[in-house]
Amino acid sequence: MQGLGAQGEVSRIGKVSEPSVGEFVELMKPRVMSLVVFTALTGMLAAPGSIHPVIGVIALLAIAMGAGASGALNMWYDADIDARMARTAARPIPRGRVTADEALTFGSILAVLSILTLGVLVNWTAGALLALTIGFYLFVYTMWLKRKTPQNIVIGGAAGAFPPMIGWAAVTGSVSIESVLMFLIIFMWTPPHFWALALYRCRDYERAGVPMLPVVAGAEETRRQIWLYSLILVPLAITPVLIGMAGIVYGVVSAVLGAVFLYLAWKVRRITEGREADQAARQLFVFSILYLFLLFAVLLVEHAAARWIA
Amino acid sequence: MALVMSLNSDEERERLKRQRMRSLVIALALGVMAVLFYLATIVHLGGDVGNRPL
Repeated sequence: MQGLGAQGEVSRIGKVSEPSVGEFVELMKPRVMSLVVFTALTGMLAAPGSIHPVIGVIALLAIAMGAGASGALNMWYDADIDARMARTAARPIPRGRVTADEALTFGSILAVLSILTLGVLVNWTAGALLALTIGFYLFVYTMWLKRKTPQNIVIGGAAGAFPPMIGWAAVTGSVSIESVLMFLIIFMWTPPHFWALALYRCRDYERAGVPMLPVVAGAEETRRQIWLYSLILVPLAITPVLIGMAGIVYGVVSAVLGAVFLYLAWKVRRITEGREADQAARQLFVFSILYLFLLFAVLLVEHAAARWIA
Repeated sequence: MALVMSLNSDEERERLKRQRMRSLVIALALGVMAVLFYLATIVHLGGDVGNRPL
């Protein structure tokens, strides 16, 4: 199976007219972009040393542009899948508002500009990591893994886990154990998050021909895998306290939220039939977003407060 | 016939409006980038940038 972008069949899906600015903004997946900027900002504040505020803002803008580029290139390639799924059918390309070629051009220009801006104006370690992120998301996840293997979001999840590392590298010009730890937290969070969604959207993925774990290995195996990844994620998310990267507030919040995460993952594992099963998966999916957001928010506030006091 | 022409001209107006708005946003984005590159250059050069013999 190939992506629509590669086939150029967009005219089959719907009428294409002059796209508006808003539709180009939609191509950049603004909600994903805001989470990327947020985790990158946390990485910047958690990093030792300082960065000039102007350079810091430029770094965040470049990272946001890079995230937008990834979104647009993903929508270009996946337009055929998007058109078949209820969750994504209203995106600009399947709706016929933007052509695949326009999305490809827009995404490519954004990608090149974001990497050059970050590399030239901030530093090339951050620039290289942004290039790696965009390349990984497009070539490894979107073009290769997504349509081939149920491990798609496990390996592809690395792309979403890079932003705090990029933020850290923007300040320090390097990669360190702390930034790798932030990467690992998001990396381990991704499978339970997306598999919870895939559990109650299983038919959608099946219809689109995407080999998500519930489609290929069944709901039972997915529930088991969600539980196993949750068991790794929760202690891992407490580790920043143990290596002195986070304070006691983060430790308490991480432990409490981790307990709730495990409870919800356990519910997903135990309740396997009927609407209650879908409900449990939906609860875990929604909570997982809050979980990651709060972890990084507390980390951000702790470091911002420490800088304020110093 | 008149109705079709009116619809076509409405569509054309809407198309031109979107095109104009896109051009404006592109111009604005390029302007912002130019300003950012200028500011970053000043920051990299440091505080002594203006302190040079004429």
